[in-house]
Amino acid sequence: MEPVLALLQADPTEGLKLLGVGVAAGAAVIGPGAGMGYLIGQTIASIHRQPEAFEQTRTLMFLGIGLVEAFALYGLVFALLLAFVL
Amino acid sequence: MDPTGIFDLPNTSLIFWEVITFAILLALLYYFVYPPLKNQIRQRQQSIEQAIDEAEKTRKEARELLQEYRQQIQEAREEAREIREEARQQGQAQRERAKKEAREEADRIIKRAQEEIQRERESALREVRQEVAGMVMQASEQIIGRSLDRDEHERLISRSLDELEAEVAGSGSGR
Amino acid sequence: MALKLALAEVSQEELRHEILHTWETAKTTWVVPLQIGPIDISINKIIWFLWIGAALTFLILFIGSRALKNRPGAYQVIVEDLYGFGRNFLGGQVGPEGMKWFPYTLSIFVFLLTLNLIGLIPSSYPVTSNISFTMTLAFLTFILTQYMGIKKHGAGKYFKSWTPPGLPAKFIMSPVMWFLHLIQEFSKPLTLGLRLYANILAGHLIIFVFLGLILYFGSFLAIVSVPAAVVFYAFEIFVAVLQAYIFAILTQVYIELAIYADEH
Repeated sequence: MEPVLALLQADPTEGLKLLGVGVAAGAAVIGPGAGMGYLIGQTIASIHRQPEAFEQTRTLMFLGIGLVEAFALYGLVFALLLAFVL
Repeated sequence: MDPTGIFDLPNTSLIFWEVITFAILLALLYYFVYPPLKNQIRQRQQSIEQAIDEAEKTRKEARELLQEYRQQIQEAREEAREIREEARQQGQAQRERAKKEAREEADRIIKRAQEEIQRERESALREVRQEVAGMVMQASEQIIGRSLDRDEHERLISRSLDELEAEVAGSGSGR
Repeated sequence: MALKLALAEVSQEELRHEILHTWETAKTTWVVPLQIGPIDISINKIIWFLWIGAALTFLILFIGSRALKNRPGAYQVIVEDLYGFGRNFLGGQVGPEGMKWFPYTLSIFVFLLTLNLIGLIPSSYPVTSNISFTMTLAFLTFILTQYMGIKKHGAGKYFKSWTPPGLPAKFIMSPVMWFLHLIQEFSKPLTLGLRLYANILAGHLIIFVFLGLILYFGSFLAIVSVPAAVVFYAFEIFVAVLQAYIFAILTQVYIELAIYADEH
């Protein structure tokens, strides 16, 4: 109970900030998660359809993963900004 | 501005030194590293291309040589077969001829021997006949006591000889 | 956030300092104070690691390019493969004229890769997790992109190429599309820098957070958090290569898009 009490006694902006951190980090993951699933699924389908283009497809998949993953991390960065800096 | 350092935005010293360091790095790389690498790769590419060309040429040559050898071997084999065939035919002919000659020789010898025998036999018969004729004439002179005239004489002898001959022939065939 | 929780052996404030230790202390370690006018250019841990990375980048490529032999050793093959990788996979993404920029992007690739990997050494400083660094590099890309576009097509033609041809309602739509492209043009370096920064920073933070949990909840949690940290460490090696590659190839693509701006 004590943590909860401590939270209640603290400055309410602190709580809102923590909420914002959670929402920012969590919401930012949704889109990239769906996107990456679609990306990898399509890659697998493509590899099965055309196994001889495996090398190229894999390279593009990694590139795509890198690009998509970054969006989740933008959210994480804003969360970190909220948590630590602002 | 930012005590935690994770959102270190206007970090003037880092920006300043980064630009300088990166410029120097790029200059060094462009001046010292990339030209020799480029040359090296181009050289290697050329040498590899050359090697491939050479290998191609050598292979072609080898293939031609092989073709030639194969042809030669084929020809030699053909020739050998011809020679063998010829030799066999020759041998065959030789054998045939030898056989034929031998047979002819044998036939000739046999024939000559038969002729010889025939002749011997005839001469022997003639001798016997004359002798018998003489003997018969003597004997008949003695018995009859007179000399028959020549014609009669001859006729008698001839008849008796024919009889004898028939007898001999009969006994000869009956043998 | 100065809360003292019952479970904790350390306060949240202390834990925060432990997790952010690398970034918090970097500016005040190994300092050589320098200043040009009002601008602070003092050398600190960040700069030292920047220099170590640059020196290593140069040495890796330089030693590989010296003493070149026709029958290469393993090291020479690696360096030549790196160069071949730059030529085949970085250069010429849009058109053959971009080929002459691949040494630049290859330099960026090797430089960022070296910095990323050096940053993974414990108690070093990952320079690429500093947003000033990545943004400066992305800004260089931006300048090069615009410079190449203007040099190739001339300023008027280049800026005109930002509006796609054949728009309906031309007088209204053209400025709108142009403005959208302007925003896109500026968001390119922004996302480019932010992507690298966020990836490397997040990777390091995740490792530190997992290890920080041990401090917070007690040493029994090491059973879980140390393997997790090791897994993320391995993943970070992958991310280090991937993000360096993505930064390099996007730089190349942006420059080539500017060179071939009239074709789109």
